[in-house]
Amino acid sequence: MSATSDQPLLQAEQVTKVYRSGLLEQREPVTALKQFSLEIHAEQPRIVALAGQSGSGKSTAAQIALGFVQPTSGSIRYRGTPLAKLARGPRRQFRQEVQAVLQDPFTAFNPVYRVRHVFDVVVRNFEIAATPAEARRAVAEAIEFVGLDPARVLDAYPHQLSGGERQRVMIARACLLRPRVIVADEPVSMVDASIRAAILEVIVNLRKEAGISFLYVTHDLSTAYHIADELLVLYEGETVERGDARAVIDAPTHEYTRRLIDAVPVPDPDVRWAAAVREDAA
Amino acid sequence: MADATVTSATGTAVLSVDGLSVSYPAGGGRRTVVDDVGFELRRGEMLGLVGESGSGKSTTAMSVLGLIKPPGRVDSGSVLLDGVDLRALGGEQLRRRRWSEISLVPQGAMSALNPVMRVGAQIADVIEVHERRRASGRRIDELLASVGLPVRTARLYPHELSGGMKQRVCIAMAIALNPKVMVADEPTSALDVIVQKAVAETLKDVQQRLGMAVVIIGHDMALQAQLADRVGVMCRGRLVEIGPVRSIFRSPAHPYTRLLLQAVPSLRQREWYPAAATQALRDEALALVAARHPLAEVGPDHKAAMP
Repeated sequence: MSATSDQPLLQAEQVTKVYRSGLLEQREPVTALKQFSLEIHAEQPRIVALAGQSGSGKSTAAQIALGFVQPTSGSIRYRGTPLAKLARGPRRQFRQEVQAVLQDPFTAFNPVYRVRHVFDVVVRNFEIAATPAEARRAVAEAIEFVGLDPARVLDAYPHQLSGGERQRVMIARACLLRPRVIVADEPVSMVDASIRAAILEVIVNLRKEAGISFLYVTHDLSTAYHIADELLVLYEGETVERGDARAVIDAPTHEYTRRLIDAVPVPDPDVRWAAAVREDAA
Repeated sequence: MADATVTSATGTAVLSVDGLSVSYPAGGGRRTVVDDVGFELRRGEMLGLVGESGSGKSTTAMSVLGLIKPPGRVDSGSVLLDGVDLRALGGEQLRRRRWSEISLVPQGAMSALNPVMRVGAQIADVIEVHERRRASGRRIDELLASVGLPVRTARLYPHELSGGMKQRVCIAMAIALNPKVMVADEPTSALDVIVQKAVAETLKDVQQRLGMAVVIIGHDMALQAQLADRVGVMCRGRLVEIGPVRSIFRSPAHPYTRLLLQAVPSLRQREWYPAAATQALRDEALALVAARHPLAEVGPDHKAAMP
């Protein structure tokens, strides 16, 4: 690893992203993210939840952390170096250490290849193991870690797996690269309820046992409540509340956080949903 | 509480589904995706139909509406709407009843609307086809207002609307002809929580105001707790449990129902069921479903497919 280990692994400082659109008719620029700051340290793995509605800027923050989107102002650094200025070697290391798991696991697969292909590409492009036998073992271990059977999964085509299985394959793929951070954008929103808990459990175990930090992007505070250490609530690009996840949800101070909490349906027919939400919501 | 349950139990059925089976070709033969499903929808109630992907809940809804397309096939069963067997009706007669007597709020409103037609014109279209007369602008405005949309929405195109607004337009279309029954197929599953709540409340409000009977398909038990009067649980094409929402939540009988209830993350407790225990319950549930037990009484107005 690099010598600058005292630097945060990933550090966003006052990041703002403005989108300007409209080629023919100039539209109002949209500020998707305002003054967003966050640090993730390799020595202190944490699950950080970014919560908010669509349009809150949470996905923009995730895209910036992955280096897919350039900030308009502010800086995003990997081990002390701005992402845009990473040299070839460190950039490769960044691509290995910071992994993405996205919402729809189906679109991440090439449907004509067996699942094995996903792992073959990783083994070919990154130094996973010294020998092919070791690589095979590493792949099998990663798949077992997410609770799947390697023999069955590897020979299947993507459409033969359920949504939850596909999502777990993507997590296994990310794990194979021994990342320090996984950016997970709504990883369970399209997964069946009874599988959701199993995937969240994998995330918690990866933090605990493999020391992997997560940037967990979600619109649903209930899952954040269960797994996150830190919670940032975003509203129209602004971080309106941040702190210990349980503390924030148990005693929210910002009006918008309260609305997000009230919108979570209570799984009890005798506890009615909080008073009607305001009309601007839809 | 018990009294309320008994009262609703005596309500008459507006829709009754019996022995419904639907299959699709698979491998060399056919795979049954809805397997001998039967239930009643009572006047003015909201009946939840829950299950995970592949449970057959959406296929059940589509076959009730006569919308199963080949190679899918309804193999058996009857669907009585106020005593009239919809399956025995010809295409034209069924089409006439759709929207006017039984309507659909489709899954993914995004793709259900015509992208090149203004919203107002699309709603007018539904009315004009069935009533054979022009729909007044005022009627369109009232429909939009009744689902919480501003009147100017009528002049917009679908791409100018947010997901929540599109879903509301679909609800407006579904209630335009004041049908007795509405089937809402996962009407809020693509929306984020705040919009989901607003749309769900609109749906409930419209249902109560019009006294419509609604089947609401979903996978989220928490949402059902907030909306449904009764809940039916489906797994692998079988209806495994059905009963009043309180009984389902307070005393679930089938292990699959317990599995779904356990899976709901709560803001009140941080502990959850470990994956291993969940897997054991899942295996137990699936074995019981595979045994194809018929529904049997387990409580007042509450049935489960168990020995």
